[in-house]
Formats: sequence, structure tokens, C-alpha cells
Amino acid sequence: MATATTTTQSGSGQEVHEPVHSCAKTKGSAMCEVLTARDGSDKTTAVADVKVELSNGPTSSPAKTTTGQGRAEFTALDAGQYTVTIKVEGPIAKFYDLDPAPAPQTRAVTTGPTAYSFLLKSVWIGAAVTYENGAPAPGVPWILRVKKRTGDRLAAKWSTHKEDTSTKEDYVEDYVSKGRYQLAAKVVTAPAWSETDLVVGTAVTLTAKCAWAEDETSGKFELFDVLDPATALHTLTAKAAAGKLEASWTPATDQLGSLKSGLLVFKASVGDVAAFSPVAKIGVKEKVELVDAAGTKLTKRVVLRLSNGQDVEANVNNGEVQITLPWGHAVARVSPTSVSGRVKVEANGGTRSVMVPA
Amino acid sequence: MTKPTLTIRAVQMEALNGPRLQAVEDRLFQRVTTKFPATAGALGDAQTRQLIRRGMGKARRLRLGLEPHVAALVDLVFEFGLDFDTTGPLSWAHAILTERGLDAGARIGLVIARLEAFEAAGMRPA
Repeated sequence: MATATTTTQSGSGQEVHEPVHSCAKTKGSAMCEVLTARDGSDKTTAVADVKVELSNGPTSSPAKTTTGQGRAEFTALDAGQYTVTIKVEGPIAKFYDLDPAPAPQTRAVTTGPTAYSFLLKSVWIGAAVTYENGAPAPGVPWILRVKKRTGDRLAAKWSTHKEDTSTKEDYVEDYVSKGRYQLAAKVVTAPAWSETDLVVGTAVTLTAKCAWAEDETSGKFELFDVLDPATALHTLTAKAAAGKLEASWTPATDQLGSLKSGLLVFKASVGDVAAFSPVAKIGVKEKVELVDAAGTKLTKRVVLRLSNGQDVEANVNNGEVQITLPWGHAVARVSPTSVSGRVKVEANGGTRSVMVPA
Repeated sequence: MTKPTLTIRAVQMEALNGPRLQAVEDRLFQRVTTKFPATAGALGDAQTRQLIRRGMGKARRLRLGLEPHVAALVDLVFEFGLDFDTTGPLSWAHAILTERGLDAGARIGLVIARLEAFEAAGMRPA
């Protein structure tokens, strides 16, 4: 008798490639697999511990749980339509997007195996720190916070999920718990003065954004001469609120003792991240008295020539005018005028006189 | 006493199988020209038959013997290309198609079921 390959293949068909003695099976099976993948990715991972139920068919079978290969098999099934339902419950449920729940699958089981495959979308995080043009911005510290979800409820407070520094690659974390996540670059941005022409004795507001900082996080504003951004002239403390650092400052001459340039910048810092502000000019208000040689208080429009060469027009009224002098400068001359005499300048408690040319 | 044995040599096996394989190829030709008219039309009859034969060869190497399983594999070949399981987005299929311990129906069935699951999730590979 000729020998030929005998296979255990089932079904009504014959082996295509070789002569066969069919060994017919009369029972079927349902081979179920549960996989997970990131949305948009074709890389799958088996999901273990998923409850798999078989129903609506002629043969009943108790529920099974997927193995480490993500599989569960129901054997010795009579032919018929069977519905397979998966239930992702317990601790593993938080890692998958189950809204909507995976739909049951109904297939015809004949003889041999019938496959059922379920794909769960995993919960994962992708993050990147980029410049405005979309190019990667490596080296930027960032913080990822989470409000964890318990059932339908989100935690009231943010908690830190992870902190790291950006690289050229996107940050990706698979199988994270469901919840609301917030990614923030740990940078201080948009440092700004409320006014860029500061005056001694007049309050100004210093602000900076620090979206990642929780309320009440301590920060500070350090004031520098623009020519010496290493030596702080004065420091203000502040607390972050609603992602912003803010402080009010009333400049005083004693705080600015070593200021040489008359130009200020501040450094806003929260922890070890900081940003420098734009430059602001600072000046001092001075009262100028204009009296002629006879002691008469003058009322007229004059041009005050300052020691930095700047001319300031001023309307003198009853011998007096208030002007703001740049830091470290004074009135050098007054012109033009039809009178000659001395002009008394009072500033910061001192009095000086300047010549009014004839 | 040694029993005489009758050995079928390869050439004889081929002769036995030839007409039946031709019939299978004909049925697959009907199938793919119906299911994939654009691909079959672009290839022409001769190249369509050639791709079917290459698909049948692939099925044989993957130990898919029954005609429905071969037909399912040939469908995949016409839809995703002859090397769909080794290159490109369906390369995960190779591990299933060559998995020991699963019979042929389960292997090809899992590949198709998984493709359907991807499609249902809106993640069908390109």
C-alpha cells in the first residue's frame, strides 16, 4: 500500500498540496486573543487576565481568562454561531480605553478552530517640547502631572507623575493609568514690567509666567544693573498663583545704591529656572525752581538741558516745575530764557543751583 | 520476512498532484479576479496566475494545506503583497503564521481576525 502524508487537518476541503487521508473532526473550537496597541500603531502586545465569555451557541462553556499570550480557547464546540464577549475588569482596566467597551464578536464555528481577535486601545502618553516652529527643544526640564481617575471621578489635586528633561525624541510612556494629564515645560517665561519707565517712589509690578508651578510655590525677582547682571541690587520674594509670579515694587534710592547705568533688568526665578526681563529705565522726580535775579518766581516754558545731554521741555509755573531726571543725571542748564540768574534744583532732599544764561 | 513497500517518488507525486493543483489554481483565479478585480486587471491573466502560484507556494511553506486556508492566504497576498508577513505593517503576521502548536486554521484565522480587529478599531494597516 502506498504511504502518503496523513494530516490532522480538518474540514471539508482536501489538502491542496499533497494526497491526504482526511481525518475529519466533528467539533470546533473558538480561539480568542486579546491584544492592545497604541492608537495608530501596528505594534501589539498580548493582554493577560481578561475575562472571555462564550455565549449564544449550541455548546455552553464556562468563562475563561486570557493567558500571558492574550489567548483563551474554548474547545469541543458543536457547530453554530457563537458570540465571544470580553470583559476588562479589575486593576488592568485602568490601562485601556474602554469607552466604548469592546463589542462582542459573533462568528460561525464549524469544525476546526475559529479565531476571534480583540484589540484594545491602550492608554499612553506622548509628549514633546518644541520651539514654536515645531523643532525639538532638547534640554528643557518638564513636569508631567496627573489627576488620577477613580471610576468616573478625577482626583481634586494634581500630583507629579514624572519629571525629566526633554531630548530630541518625543517622550512616550505606555500603559499609564487613565486620568487627566498636564505637561508643562519647567520654564519661566514672559518676564515683564508693568512700566518700562520707572520712577523712584512709584510702584511698579513685576510679572512672569510659570505655568508649571503650583500655587504657593516660592519664587523671586532679583533686580540688576543691566551692566552687572551678576550682582543683585535688590530682591523681592513672590509666590506663584495661577501659573504666574507677581510682585509689586516701589523703587527706593537706597535699594539702588550701586546702580550705574540707570537701566534695570530683573531675573524672575522659580527653583532653578529663571528668565531675564527686558530693560527698564529708572529716573528720579525732581522739583526745579526757577527764580530770576530779582527773586521773582518765573512762569514760562523752558528747555532744561540735562547732564547726559538730553533736553527736556518744561512749563514752569510760579517758579516751579517737576521733572523726572534719568538716574544719575541732573539739570545742567536752562535755556532759552529772557532772564539771567540762578535756578535752584531740589531733588532727594538736596538743593542745587544752575546757571540760567542771559 | 520483509514486506515489500511501494514508494512514491517525487516525480510521481507531482504527476498525481498536478491536475488537482491546476484545479485549485483555477478556482483561486476565479476568486481573486472577483475579489480583487483592480489588481488582477492590472496584472493580467498570466501574472495573476503566477502570483496565485507563488501564493500557493507560500502557503505550502507555511504549512497551510486546506484549500480555504490557502485561499485566505492568497487573498492576503493580493491585498497586501506577497511578502506582507515579512515586511511592512503586517509583519506581525509572520510570527502567527509560523507558530508551532497552532493548527493551520487557527494561524490563518488569527491573522484575519486580527486584521478585522484593527479595522474595527480604525487602525487598519495601510
